[in-house]
Order: sequence, then C-alpha cells, then structure tokens
Amino acid sequence: MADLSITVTSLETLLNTSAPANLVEWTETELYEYFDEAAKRLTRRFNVFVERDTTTTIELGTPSYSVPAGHVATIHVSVGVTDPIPDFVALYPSTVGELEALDADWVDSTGTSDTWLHDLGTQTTRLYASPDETVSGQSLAVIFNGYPETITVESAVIESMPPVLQCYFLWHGLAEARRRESDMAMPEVAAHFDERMKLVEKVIEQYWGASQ
Amino acid sequence: MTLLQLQTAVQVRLNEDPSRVTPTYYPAANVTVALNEGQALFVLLSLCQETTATMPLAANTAFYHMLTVFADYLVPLRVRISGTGGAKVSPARLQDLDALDLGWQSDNSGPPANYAALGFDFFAVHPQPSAAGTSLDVTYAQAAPALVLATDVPVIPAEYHPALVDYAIPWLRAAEGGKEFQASLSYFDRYLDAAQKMGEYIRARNIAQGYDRLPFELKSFDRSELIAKMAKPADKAVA
Repeated sequence: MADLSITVTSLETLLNTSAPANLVEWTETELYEYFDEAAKRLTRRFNVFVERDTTTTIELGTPSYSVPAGHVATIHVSVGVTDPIPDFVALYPSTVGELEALDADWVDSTGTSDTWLHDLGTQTTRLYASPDETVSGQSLAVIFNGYPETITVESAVIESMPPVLQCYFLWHGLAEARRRESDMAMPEVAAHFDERMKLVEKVIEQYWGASQ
Repeated sequence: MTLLQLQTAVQVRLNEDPSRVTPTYYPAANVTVALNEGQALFVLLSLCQETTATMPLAANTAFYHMLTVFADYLVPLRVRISGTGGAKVSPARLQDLDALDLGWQSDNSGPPANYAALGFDFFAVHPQPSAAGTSLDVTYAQAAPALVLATDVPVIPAEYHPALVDYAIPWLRAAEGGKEFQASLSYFDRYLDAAQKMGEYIRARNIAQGYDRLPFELKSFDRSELIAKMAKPADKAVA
C-alpha cells in the first residue's frame, strides 16, 4: 500500500517549502494532480494495476457490456458463477476480422458464448455468440489493467502498489513542478528526474509489466 | 552504519554542522527521507532483500492480492507447497493455464501446481484447494523497512551503506537546482554503480538458485542522459 500523502510532504521539501500553506508557485491540489498523472502514465504503459471484476451479469441476447471503471486493457475474460463455489470458463480472445471469417452472420448469431472481443472501440466487451439461456444470468469475469481511483488530497492511498514506488510519483511531481514556467522553474532538475522515471519504468516493465 | 551515522555523514559532506540544534539547510528529518528513498530504490534495483513466508490459501479461491497478504511484497522468487516434501509451484501465464484447461479457475482438485503473477500484486493459483488447510511457502523479494530510530541500521549489506550517503546528497541538492545540483550528480552515478554491483551478484545468485525472477540489469540502462548530460552547465530558461 502506497500512501502518497507522505510523498507530497517530500515533494514540498524539494520545492523548498515546509507546509502546503507556504507553497508559492503551486497548490497542494496541483501536486496531487501531478501524482494522478503519474498513476495514469504508469497504467497506460504497463499492466501493473490488475484487478478482476465479476460485477457484470450476462443478459439473454445482449452481446455487449461496458468494461469495468478505470479499464485500460483487458487481459482475460471468462463467464461463470460465483456461488456456491466459483465456476468459470475462459473465453477465447478474437477480432472482428476473425469472426467475419468464421461466421458471416456473427453479429446476429446466438448460442453459448465462447469468444470475446473489443468491438466498437475499447470500452465495450462483446461476446460471441450472443448469449443464449446457457450463459444468461452468469457473471462476466474480466481481469484487466485499470488506473486506480483519482488521486486527491482526500484519496491519496493506492492499495495495490508497493510503497517503494512512491519515489516515481515524487519524481514526476518534482519534474512537472520544476518544468512549469515560473520564477522557480528548474529545467535541469526536471530533465534529470524525467530520466530517473525512465530508469524506474524499465524496472517496472521487467518486474511487473510484462504482458500476458 | 546507523541512521544517525548516515545522517551525520550526509550533513558533513554538505558542509552542514550536525551538532546544531536546528541545522540551517539540511535538517535531519529531510536527510532521513532521502536515505530511506535511497535504500528503498537500492533494494528495488538489486532485489537484495528476500524472505520466505507462509501464505494460507482459502477454499475454492484462485485469486489473491499479494500486498494484502505480505505488505512488503515486491516480486515472487520461489513458491512451494508448505510442509515437508512440499512440491514446487511453477510460474505460468494466464494463457498457459487456459491452454491447459479453459475451466482452470474452477479446478479445485488439490494443492496448486502453477501460479501466475500479474501487475504489482495480482496472483492466481491453479488448481485451488477445495478446503482450507493448504498453505504456500512464498519466497519473495522484500521491500526495505524504513529507517526511523537513530540506532536503526539499513538492511542492505554494510559495505553498501556509503551508497546511501551518495544517494542522499543529490536528493537534497535537488531543492537548490542549478550547478549545485548538477555537481552532486556524480554521487548519484556512484550510487548506481553500487546498486549495479549488488544487482549483478544477486542476479548470478538467483540464476544459481533457480529463482523465478532476476534483478534489473542496470548496466543495460543508458545513464548518459541521466548523469553525463546533466553534469553540463545549467541550460536554464531565460525568464
């Protein structure tokens, strides 16, 4: 669990201030916005914030479902039930091109769904075939990479991130603050901490971010 | 070296008098933050801290968040079933498990043979036990605990403690920027040399151990933009 309220204190130190009220060129809200940018940058580059969502219920004849909140990339999809014990079957990932080659009438085909794809952009998970009574009422289980809740002064904890990576947020915040045009700009500091972020991103990619 | 000794070493190098009740530029609290970040990053780069801990498995449960099980978890190094003669649990990808059995998430036929680690802490096992009582012995790379008390000693090997001083100096100079900061980057370069040395040792060791993960290969990272270019005179924007 990473607590970024600790990190913001470190950032304020590096911005030569001892308390949020003493910030001159920035506000504490802006510093947290920098942290949120860092979280979204991490999320779009690496599959690091991985969750499994089973809250979507499959409905008869309805093939498309919205992806979970914060979704960036789908890793795995399955259908099944959670009670009395979890019983899920994985679906095959596919594309429109593959389904057109498989079944000219794939849009209207109905049956036991065994395939999923992102149709109509990336924010909809579509099932093929369109669910019949064998899968309707079951849960759609999606393992996905998604960005955490927006980071603010009231919501500064990321449960699923090791605390060691708070430095990444500190460096992004420092780089952005010192890059900003002002009398307190320090482009050389911003450039250096940009490079530090690249170093840690390489580490993240090797340890955690490899695609499945 | 203790935290107090490290703080003093940093302050002396920055021409701060540690004996002052209120140091002028580099208070001990700020130095401690820098030292802790340096130690945490050193451990991350080299994976030099590891531990083995027991992870109880819940009945009919395939998915876990490891940071809720082990707060200091970084990456898995080796997993086996707890107890005498416990078998190795092998790493796998989700598509490997799908290829094995599309219904693997529901397979509760016994203790796990495979695990999949995704993202920072998502963890899946296959198969899963149908009743409580099975545990895993998880050997994992561990994050460094923070230095808090003056007598606290860093967990990294003693011969690398001076590297933490090297890390703290440019960290503290970052608040000043300009030539002071740029001149301090040679310390950071030396810190990375130390982390690389430690990481190379751990890498060789982990290969010999047959561990599932290896430390980051720091020598493959191009430091020219990080250190060399930065060491040139400041290219500060004209106001």
